[in-house]
Amino acid sequence: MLPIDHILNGFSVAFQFHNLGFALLGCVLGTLVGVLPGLGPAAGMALLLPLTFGMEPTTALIMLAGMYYGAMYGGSTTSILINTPGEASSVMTAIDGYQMARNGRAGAALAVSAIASVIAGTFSVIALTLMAVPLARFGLKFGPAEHFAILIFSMAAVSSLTGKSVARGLFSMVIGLMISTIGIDLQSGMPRFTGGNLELQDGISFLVAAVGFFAIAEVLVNVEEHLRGNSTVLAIKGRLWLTAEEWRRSYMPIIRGTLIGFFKGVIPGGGATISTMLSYSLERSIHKEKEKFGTGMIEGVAGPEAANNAAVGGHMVPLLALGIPTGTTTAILLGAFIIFGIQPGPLLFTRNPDVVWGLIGSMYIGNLMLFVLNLPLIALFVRVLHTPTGILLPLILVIASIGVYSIDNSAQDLLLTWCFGIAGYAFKKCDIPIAPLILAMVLGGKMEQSFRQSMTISGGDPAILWSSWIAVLFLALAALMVLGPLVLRLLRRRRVAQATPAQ
Amino acid sequence: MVNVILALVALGIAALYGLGIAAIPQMMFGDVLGPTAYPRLLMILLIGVAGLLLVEGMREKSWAPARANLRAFLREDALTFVLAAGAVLAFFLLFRPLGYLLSTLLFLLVSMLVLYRGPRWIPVAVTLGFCGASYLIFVHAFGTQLPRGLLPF
Amino acid sequence: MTKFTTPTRRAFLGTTALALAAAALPGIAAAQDGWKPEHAVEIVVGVAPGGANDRTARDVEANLKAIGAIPNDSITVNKPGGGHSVALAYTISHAGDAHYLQVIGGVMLSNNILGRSPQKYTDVTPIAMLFNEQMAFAVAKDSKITDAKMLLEMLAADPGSVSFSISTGIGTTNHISALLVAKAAGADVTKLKAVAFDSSAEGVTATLGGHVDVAITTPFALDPFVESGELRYIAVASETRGTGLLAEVPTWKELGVDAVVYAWRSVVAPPGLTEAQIAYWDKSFGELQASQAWQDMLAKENLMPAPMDSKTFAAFLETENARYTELLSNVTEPAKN
Repeated sequence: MLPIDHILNGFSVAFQFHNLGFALLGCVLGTLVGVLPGLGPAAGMALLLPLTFGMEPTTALIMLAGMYYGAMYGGSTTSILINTPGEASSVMTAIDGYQMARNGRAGAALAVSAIASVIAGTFSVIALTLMAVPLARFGLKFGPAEHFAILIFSMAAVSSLTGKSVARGLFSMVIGLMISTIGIDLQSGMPRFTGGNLELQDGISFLVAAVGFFAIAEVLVNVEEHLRGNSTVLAIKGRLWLTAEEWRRSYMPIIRGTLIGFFKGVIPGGGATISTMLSYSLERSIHKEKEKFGTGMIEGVAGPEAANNAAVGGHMVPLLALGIPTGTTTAILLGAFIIFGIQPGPLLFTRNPDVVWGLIGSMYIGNLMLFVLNLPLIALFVRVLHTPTGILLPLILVIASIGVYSIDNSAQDLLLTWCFGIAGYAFKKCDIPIAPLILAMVLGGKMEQSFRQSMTISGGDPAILWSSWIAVLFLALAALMVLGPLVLRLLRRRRVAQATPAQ
Repeated sequence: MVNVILALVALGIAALYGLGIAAIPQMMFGDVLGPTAYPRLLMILLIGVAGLLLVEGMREKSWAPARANLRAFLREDALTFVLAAGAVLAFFLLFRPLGYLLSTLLFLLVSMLVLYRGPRWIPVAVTLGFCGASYLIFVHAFGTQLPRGLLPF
Repeated sequence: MTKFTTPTRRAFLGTTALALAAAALPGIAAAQDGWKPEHAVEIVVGVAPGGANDRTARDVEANLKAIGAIPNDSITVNKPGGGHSVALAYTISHAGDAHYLQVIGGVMLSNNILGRSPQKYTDVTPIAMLFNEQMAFAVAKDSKITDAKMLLEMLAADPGSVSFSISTGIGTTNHISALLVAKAAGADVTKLKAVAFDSSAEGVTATLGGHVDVAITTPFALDPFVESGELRYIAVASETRGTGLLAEVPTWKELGVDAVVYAWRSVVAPPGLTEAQIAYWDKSFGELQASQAWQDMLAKENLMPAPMDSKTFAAFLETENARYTELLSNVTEPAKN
């Protein structure tokens, strides 16, 4: 069969009535899970997975994939409206998205993330359709040393997020790195910083820290402001949709974010988080008014949201062509494939063409469905902001707590979340940025492990770290990112110094 | 002032972390670097950050505004914070023993009645509606294993 | 209306008596057998939904229901954390209650030996052994390692010349099989390059990309790549040769290396069960493992049936624990600092 026949066949599977219905159901449930604070795609899919047992495999996978990108769509909503990302890849969206909401542009932030999502989602499915297999081959070039280089690059990007005070930003980042060392150390098998506590052996999950540092801290601060009478009802200014000016500023970040997201997504390991950080730091570094980032810049929402959703399609490449999950969510999706007796991998395209092409076909439709579904919802979601604060705050807290509890059914996780909430409150009061802590926590563990994996492979010879062009490229970019601003500042100072005596 | 206090906090955390490093069991297993090399590096980094914070703290011209902020916080917000944080803690501690439905009912009712300054029936209605709906959605639609606690369902 | 009252009531009484008798009958039967589940049965598993152990737990639940061993309700409870220790602690906390069954593998032994978990295998009631998963060794298609003999020679000459991807860490059966092979080759096992990965998929990827030399994991994870020609099996750490793609692959035993390790999966229950309770589950798991549906599942997932009843399984745990202890302590002498 020619490729075009496969694609057409896939569409005919995807357009079957029951498949359309379950794709829609998946999208709706995914959106629901995504917009509930404290529930991200991974937690949501783990919850919903048992619902699909007993369905026909293709239908079940179409529904699960619908949930996956539905939750990715919805995940930005809580970041923007109540500053509570449901998963690591929405952390970057929260930074400027929440500020946009505070400036009265919640509608525009939600709209631009929906537009970015549909463009990025559709592009990545097209790329997946055309180049899945060769791209998967390329992904194999990334071993531990290459992963380490990318992660060093990401940490360099994190350290540029420090805000006003460099020292406080670094403080946040190092604490995040420290939190990532809690648990069983993969390479030596030894428990670290667990104090003999069994539940800590698996480390601290992202949601526990994110709900604590973002949701609970936000609620505590808002309770104060509310009681003091500084009502924080975020009035919507201007129209719900994007202004022409906002659209003009958004489309290039969306295009760049889409490309970054897809190509990072193709590389096994790391997840979508890195791509959102890369997109954000790229937008920031090429923007004329860098210092305005963090105060509600639409570029800081458009780029990461595109990257985030393009990564979904990117993740499908190693998942389908190699059977390799790129992150927690795709790991659950892989589990679902296996439960249905389908082994993703090199033979999937020849052995179960109906399933793969049906799934890919459904992704085109699902993306459009979500877009159409989400547009009217924007008006509904911004209504959330009109809920009286005294009612809204307790509800946010309860829903986020359910999310935390349902990760591991653990009461201890709730107490940890509380501790992080208190710490997050202190961070806010002391003006310490929270994003570096959360991102360092998510990426730090992988950075250490890939470094040590490389060292084991090379027998302790550090040359392995720069033994391939990919690794060299990312290490060089990291150096540029850290040293670039310093060098620029030095040059500028010298120029000023040279200019002064002449005057 | 904040920076100096943060520097002290950072040093405190670094010390605690150091104690944690000493408690990591060492075996001949595993890789060349072993489980403690990276944590040691992080500890040194944090001490370095404490130094940076001190430097930034010393550069501040006057501590007066920070002190005024602290005083304002103690006067206006400290009690609210303690009560709100205490309420959340109580909710979390009772989550298992009382069960999801009872603890949530209690927490929502109390906190909304305190925070919401409108007609009293609204918090009551929202609480009852939310508890019922969320229980149905999470337990029956999503199959979440929420604690039952004292109730039989 | 009154006319009908009497016969209706009589009929009602009659049916009630019948129903009571009917209800009493299985009660008597159960009393003769000793015990049967009185309310919902919980199948506990120490991983999140979707993983291999979770699948086994759900298979056990479904098949126990199918053979009628669970008369009431049942639920699979996921308690991830601490390499199954959180789930194990949960099971142990229900001492004397036979409505709790936990699906678990060899980590129950190795975690305790390595000092990660306080729970010993003697803290639970062994119920049944289910099956073995094989440990296969595979290399990339263009690897310099042509066969198992060559691997042994390379290890003997320089244990650092070969890197192994062992999934999910130190002390797993993947790791133990690498240790056994290195030991048999006469290599210094402390110099073995064992690279731990988060999941077997990650380990396989690193092997496919040529970053690591040998992948050690289950045929379930390797088969697709061997079939497509990207990986080659070189040996398997089983007692006898496998089926399918593994039929052509020599066992280490055939090659004169004493390395037989399986990733086995079993069912345990809380401590302090009565003889009658153990007998009930013994009978149920006997039936389950003999059922066609169960055997089909095993064949499909490339698992080797290894049914054992509670007594045999208890004895097996004791010898297996002794073997693990010896193996792991041989190479886990505390570091010199």
